[in-house]
Amino acid sequence: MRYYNVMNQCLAVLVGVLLTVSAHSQSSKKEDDTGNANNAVYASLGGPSIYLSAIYERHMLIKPNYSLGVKGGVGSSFSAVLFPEELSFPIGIFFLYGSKKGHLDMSLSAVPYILQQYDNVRERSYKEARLLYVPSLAYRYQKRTGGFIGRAGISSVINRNRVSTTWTPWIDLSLGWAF
Amino acid sequence: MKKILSILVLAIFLNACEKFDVQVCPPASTSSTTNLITSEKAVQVSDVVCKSLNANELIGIQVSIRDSLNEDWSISLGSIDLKQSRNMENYHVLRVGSVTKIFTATLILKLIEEGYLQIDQKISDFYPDQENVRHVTVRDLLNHSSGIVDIFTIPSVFISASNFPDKRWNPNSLAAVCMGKKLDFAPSSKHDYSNTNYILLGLIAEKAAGKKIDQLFVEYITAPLNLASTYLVPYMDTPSELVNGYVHHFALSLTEWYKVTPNNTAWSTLAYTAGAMTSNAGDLSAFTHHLFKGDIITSESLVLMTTFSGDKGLGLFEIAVNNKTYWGHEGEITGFEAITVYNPDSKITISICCNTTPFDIYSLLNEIDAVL
Repeated sequence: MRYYNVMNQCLAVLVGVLLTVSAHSQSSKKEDDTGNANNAVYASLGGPSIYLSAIYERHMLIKPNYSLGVKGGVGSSFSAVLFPEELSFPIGIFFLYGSKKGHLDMSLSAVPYILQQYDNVRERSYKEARLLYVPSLAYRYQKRTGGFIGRAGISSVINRNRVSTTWTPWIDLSLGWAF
Repeated sequence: MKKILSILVLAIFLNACEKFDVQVCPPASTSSTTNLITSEKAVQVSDVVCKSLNANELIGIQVSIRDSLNEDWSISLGSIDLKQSRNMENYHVLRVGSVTKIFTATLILKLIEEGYLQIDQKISDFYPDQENVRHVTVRDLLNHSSGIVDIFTIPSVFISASNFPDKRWNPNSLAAVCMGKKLDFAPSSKHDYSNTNYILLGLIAEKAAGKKIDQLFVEYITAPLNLASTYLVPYMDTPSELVNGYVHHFALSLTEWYKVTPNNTAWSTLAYTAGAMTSNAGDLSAFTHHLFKGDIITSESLVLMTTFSGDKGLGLFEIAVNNKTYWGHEGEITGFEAITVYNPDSKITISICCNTTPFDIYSLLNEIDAVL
């Protein structure tokens, strides 16, 4: 029951972010007309996606030297080899600094995560929802008008839980397309 | 931009720094003596252990030396945690990692004595659908000649355990994944250490005897020997005296010390009957003494256990210490290091438990043996 409650909350947040993005995309049509690429999709290894994932991002504010946006997606787990049903749903904000092709890419993501657990007394598997935090610092190659995206950086997976808080150093690699 | 980066770097730096002071060791005269450990030797051993504690930046350590007459001399030095809130005492409980394998091997030999299993029984009797392991026997699992992949070599499992301290792995799933992979070599053709062998032995013990693994350990080992600090955690209740473990500069952590708290289940459920045991130096030396004295399994089973292929017996290794041969097993599980060894000539048992890794426990073992 707890699992479904948390998942419902996560889905509500995800839907909320997507609706906000959708509304903003209507009002920011003027910016689109300047030729800037406001949207991007990319495949990611590590970073906020934790393991492998597909991410959609949307620029909310574009200035000559920087831009600000939100992103969300779905990914598979650390232990995808064993438990492919362990999924992550990264939702985050990002900040790009740089006016040409090269950008400093800083982001902070909250990552709802489905963890596969095993109850050894009842001898049954069950799922639990968790929330991870992933700050990330990366170099991004991307033309402002769109096209190929390449990102490479470092991140940390922060898991504050009832046992202890872990800070795991992690990689952040992505390839995608801006439009 | 520079300001943001500075704050980020400062936050990481502050999080990483946790000061740990040099530990003062109490005078050895506070420990009782035995026929083997005279007051002079007690001072020497204590000195060796204290130097190791500080030289290796260990948080806490326990040592037990038991002679052929079952007289125990024990010492505990250091602290139970990084804050040095309480001294480590002989009654405190630590994880012992792969020392668990001696317990599991002993349990399997006991079940063989009682007719639940046979030493050369194919494990396909218990896993008929696993084609890859159809020629693997119980003996192959016991002496690491099965060729089954070691679960600890799968990186994603390791990373997941690091990130989710309260992860509870299903040993059946772990075993199934490893059995589903191609064997590293043909069974019985060579020996290569694999934790999966001992995970499988625990699962097979349950299937053969029709009882849960915690019940089996209690019934055959811990209750008869009155081992009050020895538990398979979390399959038994977590003992209140279980202390934290610490990894110094763990590769998968940004903090200087990676802490493993008593309710961390990620590493212990990953290890299961290959490494989930908690105990202390006193219990380990008592178990090891009684095992080789023949109080748990028969002399025939002991012969099986101590028939070595290379350095590997059944749940045991032949360990050279200062040109002497000891039988035993070393154990390391995230945050903890342990060893228990028995000298078949002098019948002396030495057991060491520590709540810090990395630690070259063999160096300390050599130094203690040199004093004896």
